[in-house]
Amino acid sequence: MELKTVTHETRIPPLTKKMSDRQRALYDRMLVMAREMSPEVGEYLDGPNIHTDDALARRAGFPARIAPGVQTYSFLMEMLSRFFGKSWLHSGRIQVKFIHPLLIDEEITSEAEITRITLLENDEAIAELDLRCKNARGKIISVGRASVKVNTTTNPQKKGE
Amino acid sequence: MNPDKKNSLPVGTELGPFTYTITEEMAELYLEANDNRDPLYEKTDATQRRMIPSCFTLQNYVYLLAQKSAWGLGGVHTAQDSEYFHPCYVGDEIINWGKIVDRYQKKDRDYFVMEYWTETRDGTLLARHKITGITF
Repeated sequence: MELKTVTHETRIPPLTKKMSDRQRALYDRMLVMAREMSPEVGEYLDGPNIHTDDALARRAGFPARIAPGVQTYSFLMEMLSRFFGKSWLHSGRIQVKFIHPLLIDEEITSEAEITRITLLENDEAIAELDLRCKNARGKIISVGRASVKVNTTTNPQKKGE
Repeated sequence: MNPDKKNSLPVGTELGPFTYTITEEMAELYLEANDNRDPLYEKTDATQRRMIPSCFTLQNYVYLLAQKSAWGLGGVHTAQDSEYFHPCYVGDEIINWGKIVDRYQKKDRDYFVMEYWTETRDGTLLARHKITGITF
């Protein structure tokens, strides 16, 4: 498996995306597929919820329908997968806290910064990253940390040391 | 679904197996739902198989919960912890398992913590997840 070569100065390109109502509806179609695969699942998943119905979302305390957490998470994952490639799929770890909901059609930007590189063997290393997602107004939607196996050409150390 | 009912599974509840085969249609739907145009997932790789994003396995908690519990108004993610060990491929038959490991109340809201994981038919672990969520 080819590992990405990084240093503390490596910049990971941010990723800006928007979750449209149409995209959310595609998630509903996946639920339909689940129903087809396992009929007992459908009994509970069928019907409106906070992701599909403004009134139910308000009843739960939100201003309007919110994007599923799995989708905002998938944007962070896409940013990391695009940058680290297959090594992310073989060795990625991610811990995310969702702080504020993302509304349907709201833009979200995912960002990552390498904070530490720990040397293993054969020039392999583990890179640790800080993660955050913010909406178009700059409000932090989620924060987290990640780690992934990499190659490195620098001495292992914490950034800034 | 009855929106007045919600997931109330007690700690220790074991979930699964929930088994299905990843199809081309699922892969296309997932990539389109996330507007993911990463070339990594467009074509078959050196093994002549098509990969899909590993976070595809994240949503399996919904199916595992829904096998045993009402989903109410839906749930809200508050935290997610995931580890990825091997890529997922179209054509993989995947088996999903889970367990409710904690439940608590905070600010009058009901939280649940669930560990769940995905493996292939031959027992290869693809991904392991832990979700913390609020049920409504």
